[in-house]
Amino acid sequence: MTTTAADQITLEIIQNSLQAISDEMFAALRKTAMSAIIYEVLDMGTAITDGEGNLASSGAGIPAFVGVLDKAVKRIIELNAEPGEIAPGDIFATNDPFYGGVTHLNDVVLAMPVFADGGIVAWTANIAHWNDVGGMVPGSISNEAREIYQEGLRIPAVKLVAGGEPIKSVMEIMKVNSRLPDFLQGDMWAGIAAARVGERRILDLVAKYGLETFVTALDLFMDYGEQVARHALTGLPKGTFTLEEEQDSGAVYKVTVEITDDEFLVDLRDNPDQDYGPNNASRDGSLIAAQMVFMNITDAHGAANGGHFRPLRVLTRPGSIFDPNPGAAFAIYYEVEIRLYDLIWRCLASHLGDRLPAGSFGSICGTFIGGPHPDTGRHFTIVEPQVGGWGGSRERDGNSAIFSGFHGDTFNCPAEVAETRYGLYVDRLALNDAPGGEGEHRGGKGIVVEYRVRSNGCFFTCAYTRNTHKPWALEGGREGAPNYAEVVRAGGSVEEYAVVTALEVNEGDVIRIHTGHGGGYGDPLRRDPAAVASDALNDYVSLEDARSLYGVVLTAAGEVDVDATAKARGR
Amino acid sequence: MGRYRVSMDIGGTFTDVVAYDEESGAYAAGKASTTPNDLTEGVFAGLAQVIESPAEIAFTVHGTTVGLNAFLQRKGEKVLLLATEGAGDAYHIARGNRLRLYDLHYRKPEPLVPRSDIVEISGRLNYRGEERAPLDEGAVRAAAARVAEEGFGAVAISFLFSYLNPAHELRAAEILQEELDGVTISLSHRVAREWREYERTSSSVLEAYTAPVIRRYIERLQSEMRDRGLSVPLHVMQSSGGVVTADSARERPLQTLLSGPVGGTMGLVALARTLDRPNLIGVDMGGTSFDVSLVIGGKPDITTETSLEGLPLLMPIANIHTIGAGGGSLAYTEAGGLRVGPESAGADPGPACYGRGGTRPTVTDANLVLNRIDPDTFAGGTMSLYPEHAQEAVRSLGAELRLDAVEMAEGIIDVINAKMAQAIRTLTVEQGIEPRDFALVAFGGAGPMHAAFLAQELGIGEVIVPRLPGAFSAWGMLETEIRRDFSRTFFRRAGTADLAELASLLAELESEGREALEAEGIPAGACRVEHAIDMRYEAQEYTLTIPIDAADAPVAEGFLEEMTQRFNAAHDFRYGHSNPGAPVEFVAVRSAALGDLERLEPEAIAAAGGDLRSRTHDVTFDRRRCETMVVDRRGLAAGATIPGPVIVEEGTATTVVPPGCILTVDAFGFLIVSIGKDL
Repeated sequence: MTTTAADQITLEIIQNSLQAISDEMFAALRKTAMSAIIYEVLDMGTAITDGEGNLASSGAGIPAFVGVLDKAVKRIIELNAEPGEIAPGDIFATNDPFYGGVTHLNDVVLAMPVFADGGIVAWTANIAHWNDVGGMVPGSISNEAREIYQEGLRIPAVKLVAGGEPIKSVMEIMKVNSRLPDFLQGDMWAGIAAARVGERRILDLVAKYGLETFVTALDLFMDYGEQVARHALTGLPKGTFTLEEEQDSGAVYKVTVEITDDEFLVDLRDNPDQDYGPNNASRDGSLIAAQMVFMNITDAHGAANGGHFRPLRVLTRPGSIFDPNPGAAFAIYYEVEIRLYDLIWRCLASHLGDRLPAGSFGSICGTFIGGPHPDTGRHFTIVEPQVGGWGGSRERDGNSAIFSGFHGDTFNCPAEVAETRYGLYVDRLALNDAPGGEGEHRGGKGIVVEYRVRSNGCFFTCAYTRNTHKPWALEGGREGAPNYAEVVRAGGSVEEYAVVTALEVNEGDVIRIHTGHGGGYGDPLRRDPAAVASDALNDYVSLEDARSLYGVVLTAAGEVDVDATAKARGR
Repeated sequence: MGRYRVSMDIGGTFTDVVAYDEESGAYAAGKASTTPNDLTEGVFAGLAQVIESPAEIAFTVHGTTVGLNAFLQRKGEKVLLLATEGAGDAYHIARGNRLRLYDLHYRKPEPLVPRSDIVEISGRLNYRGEERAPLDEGAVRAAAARVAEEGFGAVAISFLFSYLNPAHELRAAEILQEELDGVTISLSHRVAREWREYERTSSSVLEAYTAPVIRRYIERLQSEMRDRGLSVPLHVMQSSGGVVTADSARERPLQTLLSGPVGGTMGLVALARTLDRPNLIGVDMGGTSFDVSLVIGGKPDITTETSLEGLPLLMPIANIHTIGAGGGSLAYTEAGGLRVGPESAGADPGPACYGRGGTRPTVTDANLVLNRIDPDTFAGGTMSLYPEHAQEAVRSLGAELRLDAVEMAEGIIDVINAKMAQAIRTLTVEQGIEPRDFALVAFGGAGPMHAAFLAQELGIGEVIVPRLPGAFSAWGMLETEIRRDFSRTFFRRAGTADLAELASLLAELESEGREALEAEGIPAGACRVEHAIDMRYEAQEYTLTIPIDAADAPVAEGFLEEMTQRFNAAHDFRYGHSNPGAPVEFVAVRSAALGDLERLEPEAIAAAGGDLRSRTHDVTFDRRRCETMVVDRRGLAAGATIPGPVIVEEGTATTVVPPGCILTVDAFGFLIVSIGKDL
């Protein structure tokens, strides 16, 4: 079929409109949500799929969420397969990895079919982190959980709205299971509204351009995504690459990546059995980790759709940490998924030229603080990822203070918002001055945040990785700095943690979070001395480290002492 | 008393001046080369073309891009940033987000102030604005000493919670003023009285960085105008689309940062009203840049927050998408392919045909080679062009690609048109907006020459060329109102809010607004103040702005019920759901003081009898030489209909109507081009 210039413009308009609709759903969800983790952190995602659940377009937000929604929709279709079971105006909810939820129970997916001419032509879907879905601890996420039943209410791909009418009984069950029922209700309506906005806009598109054109546009868009991916595949080195890496837990993760002319195969079968605790990633979650690396490599500037991932295949072993059996707990799935993402990235980094930089701080650094607000007495919960440093690359230094590759258009919480909402004091919000990550192109800097607790009976939970095993370097750079948290008690004693659950903290205690620097790229002795002088001026490196690690000697005025530097560098 | 209202728009290449004669109702436009070393020289050269004596001028308004250019070229002032102790790195940490989700080579935007130029000052407020620790005045004095020693020209002060209580920022500014002279001080709470320290800091750093440049420029312009006997107050266009006096603009220079192109957007609004076409895409193509803006349903597309090269700016601003494409865009080869722009030949040396030493071909040179520009009548005959230089420049580039000069020239035009069409798609198609539902308004010196081709590419059926297209942004500035915006935090649960307190707050804003308008020279009878309040459901973050009928409305019976109902309806309209019965809160009140400057309606032109001065030229369209009628716009009567190809010339622009399109002239003298399917 040949398409005229006008057809091309129509198809392009439909494709771009789908992107705009995903973004509009994103804005609608963000702007009406009640939980700060949704509207401020943007721990959320939106997408449109075709009638079968293949990803057609996705909104902004978190790359790790982009791949969730198509899998959720496919599972909803599978589990509601009776004729007539899916009807116009319905909205389905799911949060359980065995029912299409992919991540953990806090992330609730809402999905709505879009009907035209009596058939389903598309789905609109969104996912957002609800602050509390019940379970054994406030915020629902615990390092101590042993079974999914301890992590909150499981929502198994069931109808929440039927033919446009909310199903009160389901909503009441959901609310009564949460410690924060008002927030849950607000966030739920925000998600429902977002799905409906998307449905309305898609129907407008179908009315304007006709059903056939609309469906064709979706198909061609996915074919185009596949072409882009296959074209990129031809430019990659072919072969089999493997990596084994020890984790902070002592477990050893293994990956084999086989790149051929028409396939990108990630083999994860040879990995440890599933965790008895909550450190598991669902098979779909493991697939998403591989999808993210695949996008990084093949179409870093593009938007993902189902077609992009056709050349990607992932093998897992049921019963393993990357494909656990039913009953497993998943609360900390995100650290497992980001470790896997980092593992595949590291496995390929030194083989792919300048496509991949050195390792980043590489942890979500999920931080949970809760308790009574000192002024209102109302319960507050912070659920926040942290920013840290990215690794250096062949061309340049890594970014400082930015979310990991797992997150994306995600925002940190401003001190002014945190103090108002949570009643904590943010005593400090600074770049981390610890050494680490030196290189010809150095790693970006992590941060130090200090929360001063203002009421008794608060709790602190965290689960950071890249703690004992630091961010990895490339080509002779130095390792980055670790992620950890300190609790400075009101009495002055200091405790250090990477993983802790529901630690009691009280008025006057300070929770001090350190996030790591990215790994360095290249030998520090090759770094441009002027760059080292600038780093010293900006307090990114001490004079002593400038001399001992970079071999750059600076004068009292901060200028490069050329002769002394040449001598220190052994030339 | 003078009889002219005058507007001045200084672009990268040309300075445009428009004068409206209040006695005759006629407009006149002048154009001069922008004089980068002394911009007022260009302004007065343009003025001299339309007005005999500055004493005849009753009102002046001005739009400028000097601040924006200083930012884009990173040639702003050296800024020292004072921040709250413990939070000095907030400006470098930023928000941690990135727009390109899968790009591991993404670069965070480079802050305007290096880490070494940020000074932490102790002194702390809590989230209610109450003092936890006093301001360290000694540290502020020490910072002042550093400013003097190291030659900082500006200081930005951004303390935590200053949006609630500005006392520490105000005191620090007072100390700096005692210690320093002639240093710009930007206070975050004045720039943007909103929470989120990073965005507020970024906004105030942007102000500190650009304000001295803008202020110096306005002062110089004011004094030059006085020197030349022009005594009426100067007005400056704001990014929001309203105007303020120059004195007021010097106080708040940031508001003028994007004021140049906004004149065009306001011109579109006026045009939408006059021509009864609510949806317009405006394309402004000058010498160096191509700006796209929209009017949807008769209203300008305005946002409350924007970012410049990734740095956030909290400020109401017309949504304008700009790319580097203009008559001066340079054509060159790269990797065996043809590229055009974004680099521009600028005003000096300018295109090869200007004969000022430029040897590389530009878009203007290509149009000249195709005969779409007549060298004898360009810019109303005020500028001499050298076609042989254009020929030579285009021919020698063509030789690299084995094309003759005409083929090369058409190639240059095709490439630049495709780039501009893509820029229009960015603001329309990519936002889910269908360009076919719009008419394309072409202005700027080069816009009307390219518009028909862009319309065809986008499936747009109609191109409108306003009168004085080369000076449309300047014309638009005459079509706007004086506008001053005020806001106050009013963070209360609606159910328990003291409505008498709200009424007195509105009364205060109302009198503040009227005073401000008075200071802008607006008579009381022409002033009005519009009030609104930001509302949301409790625990939501984002608000909707709901209009309040009058300052005393809150004390009237049923106010709360009325506002809650309006909010629910607005929420339902915007987001598709509402939650009647759920508690609602107020967040901030916003008042806009508007001074009516009496709208100017374009006069109708003669229906017939104009003397159609025409001649014919051979012009190249699609590789073919076509005999093409060339007419002088002054001779076109209302109702005239001419099939393309035809070229319409006037002082500030040239309109090209390709074969297959039809030109008509409406009652107001606007050129309407119906676009054929195949050019």
